[in-house]
Amino acid sequence: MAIQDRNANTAISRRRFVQSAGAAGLTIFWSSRAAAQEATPGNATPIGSPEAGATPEATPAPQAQQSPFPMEVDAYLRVNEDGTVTLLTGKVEFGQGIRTGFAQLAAEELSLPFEAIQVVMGQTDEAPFDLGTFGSLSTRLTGPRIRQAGAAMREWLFELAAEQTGRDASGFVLENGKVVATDHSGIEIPYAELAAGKSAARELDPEVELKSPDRFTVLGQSIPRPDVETKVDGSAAFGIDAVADGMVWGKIVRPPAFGATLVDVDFSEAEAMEGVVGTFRDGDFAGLAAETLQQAEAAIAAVEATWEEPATATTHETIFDLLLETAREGEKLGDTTSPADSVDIAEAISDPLEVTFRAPYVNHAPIEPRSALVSVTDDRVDVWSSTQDPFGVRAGVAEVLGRDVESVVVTPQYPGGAFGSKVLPMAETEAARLSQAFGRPVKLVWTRHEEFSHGQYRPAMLVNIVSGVDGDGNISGWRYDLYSASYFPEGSDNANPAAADWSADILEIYSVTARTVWHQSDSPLPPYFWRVNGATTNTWAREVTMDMLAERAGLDPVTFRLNHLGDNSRMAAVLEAAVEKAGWTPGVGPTGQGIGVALGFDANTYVAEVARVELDEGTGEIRVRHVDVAIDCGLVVNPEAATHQVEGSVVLGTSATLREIITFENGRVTNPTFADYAPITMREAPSVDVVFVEDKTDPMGGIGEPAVAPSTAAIANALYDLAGIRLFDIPFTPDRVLAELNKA
Amino acid sequence: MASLTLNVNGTEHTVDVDENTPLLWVLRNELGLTGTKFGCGMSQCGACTVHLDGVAVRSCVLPVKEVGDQAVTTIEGLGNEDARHPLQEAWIEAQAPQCGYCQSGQIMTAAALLEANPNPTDDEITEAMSGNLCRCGTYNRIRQAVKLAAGNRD
Repeated sequence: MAIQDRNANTAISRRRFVQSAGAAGLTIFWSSRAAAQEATPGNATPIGSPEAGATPEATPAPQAQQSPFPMEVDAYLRVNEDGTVTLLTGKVEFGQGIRTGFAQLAAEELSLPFEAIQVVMGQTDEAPFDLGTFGSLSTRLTGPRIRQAGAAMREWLFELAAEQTGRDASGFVLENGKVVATDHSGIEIPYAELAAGKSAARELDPEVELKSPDRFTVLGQSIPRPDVETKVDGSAAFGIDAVADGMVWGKIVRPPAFGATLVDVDFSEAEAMEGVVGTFRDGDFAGLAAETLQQAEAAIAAVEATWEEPATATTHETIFDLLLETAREGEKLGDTTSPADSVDIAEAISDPLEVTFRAPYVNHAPIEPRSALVSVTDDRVDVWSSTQDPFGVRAGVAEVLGRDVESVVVTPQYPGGAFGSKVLPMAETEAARLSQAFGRPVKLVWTRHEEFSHGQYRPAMLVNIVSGVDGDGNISGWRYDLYSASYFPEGSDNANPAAADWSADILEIYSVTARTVWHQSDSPLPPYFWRVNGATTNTWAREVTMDMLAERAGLDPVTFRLNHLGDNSRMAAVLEAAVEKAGWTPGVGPTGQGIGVALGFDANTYVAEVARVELDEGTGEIRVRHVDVAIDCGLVVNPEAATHQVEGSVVLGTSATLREIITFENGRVTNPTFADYAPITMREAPSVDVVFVEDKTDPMGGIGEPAVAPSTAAIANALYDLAGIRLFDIPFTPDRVLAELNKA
Repeated sequence: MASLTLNVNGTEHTVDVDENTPLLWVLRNELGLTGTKFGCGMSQCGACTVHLDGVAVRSCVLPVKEVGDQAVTTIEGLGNEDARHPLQEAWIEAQAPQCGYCQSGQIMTAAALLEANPNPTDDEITEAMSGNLCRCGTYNRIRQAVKLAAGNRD
């Protein structure tokens, strides 16, 4: 099947999924334009998160199109003979803590200790289908299903006990693995005796009564993550660690530049080398395998390939011209979400402030490169890999091999970092093709150079904002133009809800008269999802502009924000909590304290961050000392794990702000090493304090990404507060800082 | 190919490999000690850190022929479930890892630090650890774990 066909199919599956989810009564808002238009200013409706799922490769399985998520309780929970309960999920654990959190959710509804829940994750022949682990969706979307399954199982256990004892089902409670009669008759029956090996034969009911927060004993506890114990002694199994009998090592002939086509490949020297088991070419795909990694490395270096490269003039410096030049006039998809949609807001603003923000391509750069082991036999294909999307890998491998999806079994290993880079099947399909060609299990581990040069990138973005304040110190209008490539392939329906527009709509937070337009542009590098996607850039642009307008209005940045939050009480609460934690001292314009604030909203989670920075005016080096974060992600499942996610989010956000840019020319990445790309180390990482603002009756929001988004803005505003300079290009390198200092 | 004898985690192993093979891949592919990780192959990320006679080295750029009779210690040799090293206990107490991939290298770097400097200051920890990358952003918890292991509970 051609790629284009798959995209078309995916569009169908995505729509069907929305219908399916809606039919089930779940409160899910996919960022279709319709959903965005239904949004009202400043309310708490979960909008604007086109959950990174539903990528073409994430949902091509035909059965997935019919039934994206199983609704049967049996698909999620089973009672075992030993009294434990097995929880099955298509999600994967990569340190975000969902193995732990999911078990807490199930344990709570089933009145079991945490240890009594066994968790099966992502194994495609056991676990229920899932779109993949991304988009801060796990706790937010799968979490409620697990609670519903637990509650349904509770009801089922009562029915089974009633049947066995001839009593009424309402006369039982669950206590630590036993169904106990409430009349003090002493009747207590272990779950296993009633339900082991049996089918619950019922579906999830979104309206089922869940345990109330005042009775929680497991949910909400900071239970240590069991995976941690295996990650301190080398015993945790990552994708790169998988082995199989008879395994050989694959290597791929890589193009010199994106878009290059393979004209000719000469394997003759490689084929004569020791240990080489075979070479393979099909169109632009060429590779080989050898008995050892070292033999494969030597052989691939001996391959002579001739490539035809497309002419590509764009570089990391000229990309912003390209974004403007290729912007599709007829495809302004950001849409108008205000009453002023019939007028040009920008024209109506007197004494306008116009600011342009530019963000570069960035790489995910997980420390573990893409890795896979694939064994293709006549009747079965086994895949072991560090993937965020086992079912997507299953479909992708089945497709390249021309096999039935059911014949492919993916056993996910721990990913050694991912951040969006391990969603699409890449090493898996490459290894699969070589395994099919050579009849041996093939292990493929990308090099660091391959990881930097042949994956995908969060695409560059340009944001232009025209705004102003009126005589009362209020925002008089807001025109927001965003230029970026779609994160989805050209031509698919999914080009519409671009991840670039995450958090672009100011109305998700503030009550103002606003118009937001997304202009789809070309991308010389393959664009893809990167932790919170465009939200970091959009949040930076919005929150820096808010500070600039506050100064114009003669107001403190906190006061100015509170004045524009309307009835967005959850956002106001995190803002107030953050500034209280940080010891915010009000001021107008630069106060010299080096303190800056920013708000963010993503994945139905409200975030306020206050950064404190220092600056070496001699070297231009910014030092982010500390970030206070107040966050409202609804009901918190595991405070310690959630805190950890926020800490990591801020550190990654700081790294992207200060350091990260993919440089390129002639279609080639020109900084494909850790030394050149230079993510921050312990030396540059800020300390982070986290405050939760929580109403336990609120739905569970996302926690993996939302705190990444405001980090750049908080740092930018703190830099201005300290030194009176603003940088409108990410990253904030010493050179750029010095240039601004010299201007000032 | 060459036949080499290595002392790894207190046990002698004889391997038959190209003598220029980096120690990392001998550990992983010949001895099955996969706790030591590949990150870059260029000594730029620290994921492959092991000890040679107690000194932290980057095994991804160390040809196995240069090991000689020096004692190699990997994360598996530092301690295990039954007898954890104080750093491993501290790492669990601080819940330091997220994905966990870089943590073997982090712990081995920290172990070499504490051997040389049993009571490091925060700045000394930061200096020692700043060659080990972590993309999950666990740096603060790693520093905290090193302090815990050093008996410094503040």
